[in-house]
Amino acid sequence: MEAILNRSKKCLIVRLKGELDDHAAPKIRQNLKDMLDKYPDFSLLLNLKDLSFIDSSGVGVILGRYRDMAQEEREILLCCLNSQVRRVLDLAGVLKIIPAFGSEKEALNQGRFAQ
Amino acid sequence: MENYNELSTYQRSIPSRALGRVRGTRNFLLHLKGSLGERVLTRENFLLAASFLMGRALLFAELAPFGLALWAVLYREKRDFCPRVAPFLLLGAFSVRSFPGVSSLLAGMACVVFLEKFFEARKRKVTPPLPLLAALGVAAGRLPFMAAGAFTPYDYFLLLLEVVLVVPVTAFFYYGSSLALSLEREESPGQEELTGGLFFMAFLLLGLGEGPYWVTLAQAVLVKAAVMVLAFLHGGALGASTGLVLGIFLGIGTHDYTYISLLAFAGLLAGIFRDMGKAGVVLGFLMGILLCSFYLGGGGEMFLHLPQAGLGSLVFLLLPPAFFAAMKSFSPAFSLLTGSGTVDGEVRHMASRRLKELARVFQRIAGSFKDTADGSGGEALQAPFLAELGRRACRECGSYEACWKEGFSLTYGNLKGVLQEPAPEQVALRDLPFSLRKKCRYLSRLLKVMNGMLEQHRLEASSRQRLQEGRVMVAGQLEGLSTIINDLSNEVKLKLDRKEMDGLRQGCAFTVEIGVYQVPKEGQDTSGDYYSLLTLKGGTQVIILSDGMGSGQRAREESKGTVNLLEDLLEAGFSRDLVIRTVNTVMQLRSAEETFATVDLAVMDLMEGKVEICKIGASPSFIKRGEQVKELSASSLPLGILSDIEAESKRERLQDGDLLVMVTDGVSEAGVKVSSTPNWVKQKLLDIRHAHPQLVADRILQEALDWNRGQATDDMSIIVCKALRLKGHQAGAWH
Repeated sequence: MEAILNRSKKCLIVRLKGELDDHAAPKIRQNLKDMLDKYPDFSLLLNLKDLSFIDSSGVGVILGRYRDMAQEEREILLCCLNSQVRRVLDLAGVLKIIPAFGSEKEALNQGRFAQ
Repeated sequence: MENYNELSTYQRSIPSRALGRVRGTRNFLLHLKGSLGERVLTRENFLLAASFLMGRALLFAELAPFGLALWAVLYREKRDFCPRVAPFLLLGAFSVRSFPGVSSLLAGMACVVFLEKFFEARKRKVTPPLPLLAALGVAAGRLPFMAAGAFTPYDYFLLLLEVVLVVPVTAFFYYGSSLALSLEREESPGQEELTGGLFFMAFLLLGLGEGPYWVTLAQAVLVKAAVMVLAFLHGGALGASTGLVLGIFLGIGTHDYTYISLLAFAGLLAGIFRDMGKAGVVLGFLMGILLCSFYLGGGGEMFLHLPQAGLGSLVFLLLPPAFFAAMKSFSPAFSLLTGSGTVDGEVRHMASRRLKELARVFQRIAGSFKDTADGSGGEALQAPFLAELGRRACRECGSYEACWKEGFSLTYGNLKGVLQEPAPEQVALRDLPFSLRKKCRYLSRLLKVMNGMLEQHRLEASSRQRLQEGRVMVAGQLEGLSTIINDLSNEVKLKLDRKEMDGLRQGCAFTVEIGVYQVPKEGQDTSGDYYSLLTLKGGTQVIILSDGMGSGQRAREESKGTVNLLEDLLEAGFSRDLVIRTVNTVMQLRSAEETFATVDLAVMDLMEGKVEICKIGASPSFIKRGEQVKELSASSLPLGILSDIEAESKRERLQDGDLLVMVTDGVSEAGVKVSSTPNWVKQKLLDIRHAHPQLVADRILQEALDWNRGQATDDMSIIVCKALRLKGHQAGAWH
């Protein structure tokens, strides 16, 4: 997992790597939480380009962040989903509530950042 | 067979102990049926006795509106019976007031009959209100005698009083008699009948009248027995109201108004103990009398009431079961209070209304929580902070006056710039403006105190923040509860209609065979998946499969909790939509962490041959029919994440031999890491030749394990359900 701060767009970009499963989920969840607490008015963009696998625990991590951030009216975005990740997130209904984009650039040019 | 019917209604809502006793005396009862039940305890005899007493009943030794009121009601509602009632009424009147009484009653009765006939004979049908009729009758009965004597103002006063009195009395009789005499009326019995019935009893009490000591004693004893009877049959609420009403009228006779509280209280206690049978009722009643008379009038009163209560209990205990059966049949409306019988609908409506009110209360509380939560904005470091800083840091400095009194605005301006929003975690020397650095001699002390205060401020802010989050959460929970209760209320109403529909259905056209296979994740003892096969009334087979987040015991608790709650709600007969929403809210309330569970719900209607599949974050299911495999997928969020959830559902018609296959993501995603076939389960189903559901489940799970060299990378579950058409039912069409 790698995090980049885009100050001009006020967006925290996190690139997830490897597998987001039962094993990896707790650590990633904690890292994300800490970072989001540290930058309380930043949005979150999850880049899933190098994420090879995701299961229900991973879905839980993403939905959990969505729930927290939605309460504070912060935005969360996804980009670069491979086919397995896209299918799992779609079936879990995640893509109904969190927009997904083709690239980081595309995501950053959308929504609230574009103003 | 009327009596037998009465008995069975009686049994239905009597406490279990009493029920056993009734059964035990069944033979005795059947014997009684021929004698006591049919000959003595008939409604007609009851009515005749009542008429006699009503004819006698007097208020203030002068007013007798009761006989005429009863006559008016009977003449309208049960005319064929009137010729027999008339002599009893007149006899009653004669027994207290001899000829004047009889003649005015007779005149009044004639007037009522004449008026009724007059209005009926007219072409345009008008039915004058009964109380008006009775009032005219009273006037007609009294006026001639007043004319014969001297008109004193007192006479006018009596006439007026009686006319006024007869109006409510007639109304009471109208409602009460439909209860006590079972006159059939269209409207469902309600609170009015109940009150009417009680007052009817009370007027009868008046009919016994004042007399020698033994009459008063008999009254007091009978009243006590009556309170016990009603408490026994219908519980404390009615016991207390009976005691209250009868106590008032007993008080009129004896001028002892302690009866009111005494009887009401004793009736309440008697009702509370009715589950212990008659003995319990007597115990409760005596206890009430003892307690109440002790507090009301000291020790002396006890000796008056206790023997009466003892005699009353004796009467109560000696009453034959047939009497209770008859009582029960006289009082359909009493069941309003016990919640059974014909007033079921009304109770439901009432329940529905109550639930709505409850929902509103929760909604309001939630609103108030939200208000407080929204109320506070950003934590600005205000002037008080700086004033406190000056006090703490600079108090002992020689320049305190110069900096914080005369030069306050300058110091304030300097520091305010440093502490601008958002508040810094720490302030370093270089953050302070140059002018301040030059001026202040104790900079390090100032910085130390300032940082200490900032730290404290931050802690306070974060705890405030946490408190606010808590409030927001509680508000959300209350809102959720409110929604659930509101929905329940609607559901309660809906069920009224549905109940009738269920009765019309016939037998099942389908039956099912089910095969299940579960493997926990490698290294875990328990699977985080949980399933349930549930058979509901009306030929409904439900399959629930839930995948708790993660694996092991914790995940299992999550999925098991979800499934159990679903089971309970479905079994209670609530609609699918409401069930899902309720479970969602409950799961949200349970924990703030993102623990969630998916739900894969299949509801099969085995009568109609239909299946409805409802998915909440669950993997696709499949239906294999012959050589075809159809995928059923839906994308909806798992439970417990969003407060607003809409479950997607798919409907399918079932055919003979259909295989419904449900899997958790452990199975469907098993091949993903090693192969590029996303839909291997569908492919596998096409290849499988087996038709037995357990074999199909075994084969697919084996294959899922094979993808990872026999290791389960996640909890795996598969349920295969085969629909079989029962013989004698016609085949339906695909869609």
